[in-house]
Amino acid sequence: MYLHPLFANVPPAERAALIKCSELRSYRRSETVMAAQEWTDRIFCVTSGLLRVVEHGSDPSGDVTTDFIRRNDFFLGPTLREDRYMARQTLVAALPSSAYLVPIPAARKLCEAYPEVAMGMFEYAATRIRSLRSQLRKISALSSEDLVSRVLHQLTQLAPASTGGFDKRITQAVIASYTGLSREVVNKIMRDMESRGLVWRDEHAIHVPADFASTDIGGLQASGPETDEFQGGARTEANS
Amino acid sequence: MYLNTLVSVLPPADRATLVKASELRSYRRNETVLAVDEWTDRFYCVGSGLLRVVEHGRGNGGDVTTEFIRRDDFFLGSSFTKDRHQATQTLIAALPSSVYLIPIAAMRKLCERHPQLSLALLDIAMKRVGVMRGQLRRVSALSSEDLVGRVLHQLTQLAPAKTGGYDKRITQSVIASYSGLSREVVNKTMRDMENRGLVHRDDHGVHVRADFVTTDFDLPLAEPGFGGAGAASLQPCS
Repeated sequence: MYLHPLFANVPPAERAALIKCSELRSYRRSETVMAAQEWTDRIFCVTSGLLRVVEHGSDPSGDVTTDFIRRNDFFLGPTLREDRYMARQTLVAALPSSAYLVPIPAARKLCEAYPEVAMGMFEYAATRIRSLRSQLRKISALSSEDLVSRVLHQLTQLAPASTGGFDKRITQAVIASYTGLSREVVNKIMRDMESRGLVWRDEHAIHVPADFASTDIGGLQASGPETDEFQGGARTEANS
Repeated sequence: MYLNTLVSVLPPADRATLVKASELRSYRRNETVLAVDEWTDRFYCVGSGLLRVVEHGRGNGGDVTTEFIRRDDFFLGSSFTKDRHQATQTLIAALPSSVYLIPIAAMRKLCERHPQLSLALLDIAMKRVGVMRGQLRRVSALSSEDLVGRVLHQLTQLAPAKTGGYDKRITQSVIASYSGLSREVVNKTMRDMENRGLVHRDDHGVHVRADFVTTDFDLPLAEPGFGGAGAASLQPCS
């Protein structure tokens, strides 16, 4: 049990100690994992399910989902150099999820003892920046329909269903909040896609055609930046 | 975060090595610092001026400025594990700028010996993540007018003119590309603001009324990580 592939090369005794001081928690769908303005001394490492990061405006209608944290992804505070931080965003379970809550001092100690852990954390943050850039571009430049297509495709990777496609418990409200579109617009576009046979449902999933991935690819990344988050060869060994 | 602050976690000898391996380069306004698909083995730390990061779409229409990199802030690129990588964005000088080019390999070697350096880099990256989440929210949720108001206010901090306001060399097309609006909408919004006396110009700057900043602040703090330099943003010229 690694807690996270990033810790794979940490000696077993220290890995066990890290797990022991961390707390494994489960969350129901739509449950708040951490509320904005709450103080915490933990970082979050998702072991199953999917969390979403919600940035708040001055009134609730301005709330926006900025990114998703999936299995083997972290939600970090602004720094590991201080023991606690005040959350600027709210973290909500988009699906039933479980996460390790790792005390920041313990994470920092490992970073200090094992440089590759610290560098891995930084690499993780760089990956997150890359996907935020890509999302910013999509929101700014794409038509509503292209944007919804891209997001539906992203969801097949973030929240895969056992039968293919994405988990149908991801609501249109969540999709709206992530695309910056109204629920009405998202509903209309998805209904339109269904009636054109592009999108279809079964008991578990909403299925999306593969070519949704190729709508307006940014830069070089033919598979889109969302496909390569944390795949440095470590993902496959997760939870072993 | 200043280059000096970053390397201050290092012993003097290592600090000197890193500074020696780095190169200081100057760029004219609109000059490309790094083009998408170009190979690079450097991190970029802005010594003066302002850079912008451009994410490309298919064709010319989809280009978007995702962030600004101001003095003492970093462009870290997309990989740290390899000595060199192909840029996934274009980096352009929004104003005349000078930039330190720091070899990734040298930085990584130091990180292997000094985990504090990695933690400092992580701080820089997480600050950037915070800024980008804020910008994502504003682009998604604000009306065109509120968004332009917020961006103009941001520019007074990112590109301050000596007479106050922001440097008037920042064009409306740059503002459009950062706010995800068309140039026409930005032009119309700014003209409207000028007519209402909210915005005015002099020889150097475009001045923005201070109460712009009350438009829809991010919670919980008034933009703590704004502009990417965090606490340092309060003393940009120190």
